[in-house]
Amino acid sequence: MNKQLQEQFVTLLEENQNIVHKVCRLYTNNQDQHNDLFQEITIQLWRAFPKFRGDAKFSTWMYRVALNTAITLYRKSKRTVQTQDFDSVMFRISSEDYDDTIEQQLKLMYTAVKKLNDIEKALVFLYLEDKNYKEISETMGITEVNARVKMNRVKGKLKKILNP
Amino acid sequence: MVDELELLKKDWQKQEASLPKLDKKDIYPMLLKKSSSIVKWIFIISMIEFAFWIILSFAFGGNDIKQKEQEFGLQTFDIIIPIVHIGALIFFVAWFYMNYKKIQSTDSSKVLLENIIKTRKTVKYYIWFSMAFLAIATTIAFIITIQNSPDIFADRSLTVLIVQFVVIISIIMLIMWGLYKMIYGILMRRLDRNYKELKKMEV
Repeated sequence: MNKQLQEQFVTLLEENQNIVHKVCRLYTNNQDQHNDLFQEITIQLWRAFPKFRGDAKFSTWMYRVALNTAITLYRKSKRTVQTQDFDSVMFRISSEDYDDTIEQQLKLMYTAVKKLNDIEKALVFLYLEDKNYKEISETMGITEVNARVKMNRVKGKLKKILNP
Repeated sequence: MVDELELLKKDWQKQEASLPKLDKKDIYPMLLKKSSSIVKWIFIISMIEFAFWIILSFAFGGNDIKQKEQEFGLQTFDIIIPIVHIGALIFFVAWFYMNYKKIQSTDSSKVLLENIIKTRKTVKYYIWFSMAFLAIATTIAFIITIQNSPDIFADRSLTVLIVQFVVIISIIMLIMWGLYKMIYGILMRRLDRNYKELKKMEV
């Protein structure tokens, strides 16, 4: 790998790092796991970078690699007990923007999303990132119809988690 | 639900400010680190196992053992079996390595998982091979020994001897199977679950 390619990659990753951080927040429960997954995604991105031809946007390609890594390649640490400690590390929102009810509702929603499986989380993530179904289907490697059907199912599942 | 998801979406998009910010000097060292992905671990474990069998074959290659082998008529057996075993191990390690290389991050999640499932199949074939190899090799060794030196087991009847042999081999195979299931099972469980979820989406 030459220096120029490395420089180009690091610049692009620095500019687009939020995508990776957000994937890490969704798939991990604490800062250590977050850092581990960020590291793993960076390695996978760097390995795949020579094959990135620029026919897709760098950010789109990043979504794909980052989610693939979280779903398939990342070895979750066994040392950490799975807890709902997202409150302390995730989604810090400035509280003045919300009243208590909304904040409470959001907390419940985030907890519900955390309970979904890896694939469902990926769908919700892309939905939250405001991706349309075409983009979702391309990233996940499924058809647009399937992406819609599955998203509807996920919505149903979230509803059940919230109102058991 | 739609309203709640929309609320979540708005909130999600506001989190940018609270995300960690890494600069180039944080990112550069990351490129040099090693991956710890599951497929890589499968490959590493297979290599460790490969080394284990090789060390074992050297450990049991001493003069005393050679003498016993001659006594039992196992010289030819002891040349052929390690060659077949090491050959097969090299074949499987190469297969694991190819699987590991084939798994490219740019593929869709589904294609990627399909490749990982292929790795799983390789693991399965490998486990079956190891078990079958153990059973066949020990049975052959047992038969050769009985034929060449019937007097060493003169104190027991053939039926008792066979039953003892079958029980011992079964216990060893059971332990081996349990170990494989434990090591590879831990690594493959989550992938299996995700693969099934993706499969369901195709229906």
